[in-house]
Amino acid sequence: MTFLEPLLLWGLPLISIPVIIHLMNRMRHKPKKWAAMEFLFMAKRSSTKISNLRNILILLCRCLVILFFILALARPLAGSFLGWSVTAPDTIYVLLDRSASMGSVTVGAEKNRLEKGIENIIEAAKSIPGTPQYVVIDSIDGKARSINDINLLKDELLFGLTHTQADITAMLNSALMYAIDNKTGNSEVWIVSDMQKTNWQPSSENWKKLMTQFNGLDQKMAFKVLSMGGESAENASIKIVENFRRNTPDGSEIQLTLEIRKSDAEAREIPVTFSVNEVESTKNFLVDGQSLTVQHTLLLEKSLNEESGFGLVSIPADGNLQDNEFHFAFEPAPELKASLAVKDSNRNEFLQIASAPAPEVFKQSSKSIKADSLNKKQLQDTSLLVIDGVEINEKSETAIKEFIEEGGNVLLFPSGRNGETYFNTVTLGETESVDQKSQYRLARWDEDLGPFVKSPSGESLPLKNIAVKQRQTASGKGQILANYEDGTGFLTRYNIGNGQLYYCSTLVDNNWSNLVRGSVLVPMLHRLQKEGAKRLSSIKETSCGDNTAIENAKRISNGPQTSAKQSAAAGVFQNEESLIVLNRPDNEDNFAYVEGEELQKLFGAVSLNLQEAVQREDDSFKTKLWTPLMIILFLFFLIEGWLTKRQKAVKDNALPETVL
Amino acid sequence: MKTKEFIDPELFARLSRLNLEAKNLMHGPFSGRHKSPNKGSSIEFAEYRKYVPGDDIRKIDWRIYARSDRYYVKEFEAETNLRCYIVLDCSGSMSFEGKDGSKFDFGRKIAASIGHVLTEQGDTVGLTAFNSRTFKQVPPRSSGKHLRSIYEILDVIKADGKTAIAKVLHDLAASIQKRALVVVISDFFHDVEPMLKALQHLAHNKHDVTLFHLIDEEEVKFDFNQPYSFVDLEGGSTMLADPTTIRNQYLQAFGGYLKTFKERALKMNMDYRLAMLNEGCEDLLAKFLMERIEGGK
Repeated sequence: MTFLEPLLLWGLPLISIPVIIHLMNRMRHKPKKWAAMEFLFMAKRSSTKISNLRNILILLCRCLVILFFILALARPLAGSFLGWSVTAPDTIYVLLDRSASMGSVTVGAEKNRLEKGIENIIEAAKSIPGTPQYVVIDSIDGKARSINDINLLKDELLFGLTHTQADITAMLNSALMYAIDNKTGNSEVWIVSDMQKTNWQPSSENWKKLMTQFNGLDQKMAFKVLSMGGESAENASIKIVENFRRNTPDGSEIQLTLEIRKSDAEAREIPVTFSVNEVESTKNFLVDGQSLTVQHTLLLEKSLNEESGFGLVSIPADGNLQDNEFHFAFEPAPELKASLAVKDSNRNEFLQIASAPAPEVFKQSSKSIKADSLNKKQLQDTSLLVIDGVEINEKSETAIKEFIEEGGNVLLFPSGRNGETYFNTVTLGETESVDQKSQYRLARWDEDLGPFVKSPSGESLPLKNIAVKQRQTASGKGQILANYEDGTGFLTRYNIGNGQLYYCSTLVDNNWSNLVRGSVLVPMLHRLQKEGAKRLSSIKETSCGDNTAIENAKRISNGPQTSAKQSAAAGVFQNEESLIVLNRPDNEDNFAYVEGEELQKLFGAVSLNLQEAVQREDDSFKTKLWTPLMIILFLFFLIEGWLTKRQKAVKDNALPETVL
Repeated sequence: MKTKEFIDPELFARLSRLNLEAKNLMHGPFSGRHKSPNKGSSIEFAEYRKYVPGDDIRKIDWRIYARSDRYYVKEFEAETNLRCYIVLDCSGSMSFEGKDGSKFDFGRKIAASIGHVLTEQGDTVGLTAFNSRTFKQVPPRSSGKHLRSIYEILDVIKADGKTAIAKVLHDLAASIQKRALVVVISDFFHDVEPMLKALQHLAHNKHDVTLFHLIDEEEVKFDFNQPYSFVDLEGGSTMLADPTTIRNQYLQAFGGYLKTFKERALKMNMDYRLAMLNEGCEDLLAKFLMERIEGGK
């Protein structure tokens, strides 16, 4: 049997305390002069064996209560997973989740979940009889590696934390392939994970296939999951949701949209440090609640207008160091080019001005194009295509669809033609209007992300002032970004490939709406162009673990330079063509976990032993082994209490009044 | 002179307002306040009977003769004094001492008090104090001097050794010629049957037997929480026991003994009085005297 707190076993001699007290009581008996000795002799002669047995049982119960209390405190790891295996497996597969979320520590603990998990595994391995072969499969590349010494897991360079996410099914598949190829005999698969749902993907079809294959193996495979759960210590994370560079009259600026999340809902300021070209600046952001999406602008000197670079945003160390940094890169501000396919000349003119109000300062331009002869080349450098009223032929529709699929943005206005369908995605409905005195008003819009996001200074766009007299709603599977009071969409987004199709249900026309005022239209067009310009950027942003993205690239930000798995750590890389930014995946900020029955279902009929992590302090009482130990302890308490009560009941007896 | 602990003048004074009445008819050499089985001269009319030669002619009722022309003699109840034998057990078990004092002191107080009451009312009182080693006896007399000699014996005698109650009671039963009041003060921790036979001997001789059964509260409750080495007060033998484990059995045995002894004593028409030390001597004696008076009427 293995104990996680073996030092507490030194307390085992304490179980003799009840016996010692009993003996001491017997030894420290006082002499008592007694007259009615005859009755004492009679009593002792007739004192039943049951009475003596009861006393022995009480003593035994007291000893056992202490024994189980000490055992429970020492936290024995029972069962064939980390404890008393009778027969050793031939092979033990250790599936190590090294994802970013494993870097979090539980309340009161010093070690993070991965360190604690490895510690438990090594401790458990000590109690395994024989010398099984250890095969480690970590979450970085999912490759199976045989190791001679399980202590090798302590090597942080090889098995330390990363900024990646884990794919448990891929790791299991790797174990399966290894078992088939190497015929590893009677095996156990030990999975160390924080059970993050995005890593386990319980809805994946792979699970069923995998378990069927495991069941079909000739060799016996048993699965043991060491769930590194427990309440996390106070933690905050930061990431950049959007990053855009643009020129200004004084130089250029990088507009960063930050998302700060924290585990608690209490309002507090979190200092965010921005590092660009080794220049650091810090700003405090008040996070009231569990998350905050906020914009921040970094100003760059004019001399750097044509320079590329990279930077880092970070927050102070907390419960998980792996989510405290986020890298970004920038390049010279892209030119925002809007292409307008607008039937009405007035609206065309107005939209041209609105989409490029200051072309000299902000590198913006707009041009009119004909919709009947569009080809891919014409849209090559377009950041936003505006379609208003024109009929699109099949050839143009194909070109536009390709444009969107590659990451382009299209803003579609009503055509007035009922039932017209665009890109098999959106179908226009009937045109609706209200009388002279009435108007459609907007009720809700998304201010955190998208074209209606608040300004960097925190001001909302005046969408509440939009008054619509005519509208043509559309149907399709889109996300409404702003809606009228009756719930229908004012602006709806449809994702097509890597790009987006936006449908605005009213026209930039005084007969339709007051959008011509421009206070909403201009920033909306600008933001849609910014988003559409991303596809023109040479900077590649991807998630850690993406090895192919950094082939032939060299890390230029701080970080491990020699690691064989460069992509496992976040940072900025550069190859001959571009900058590549690797950050932890969004999935690692997801706090849903696979638990209990759901986990059992994944493994189906395959033997599964779920061992909850034995963390420090509070968490230590959550281990499953506690339950039986505490039940047994409580049981002995009850028996002792019952026996003592019976003894007391005897004591409460007295001579009846009739005798006296 | 040192005041003896068992002499409580205030108690004596309070008890003196009461008398100790004999329950049975008494034979006594002197006339007194207690009924005698003999007819004698007193103011209590008993019966008429025919004159037989030899009768005192002064007892002939001449009025009856005038009416019936026959000689009738008027007989009256004889009243005699009471002879009381106080039997005090001085065995080692009587030296048992609980929180309310020792049984022996309690017993001496009962003996002294009864002696005082009887002497005050002109009856005779004697004392038999005994254990296996010592036997002190003073015959019944009625005088203050005699009472003081009883007090002297009560003062010097110690509770020690084994009891010899059965033998002493048999001897006493054999030695008392006339009906008397026998007051036995003891814890009666002896084999029950021989002891009851001895008591029966006294009852058979038509003595008015009163038993003061001295028991301490500790003996009936046996409420101890720790092991004790119980030392036999009559023999010095010891027994190590945990009272919590044998309490039930002890109480069963002790309760059975008390019940049997009481029932058998009452069956022999004896005046059985359980004397709990914690209830005090005065209440016990006052109740005893009051019930005697009420029983006498």
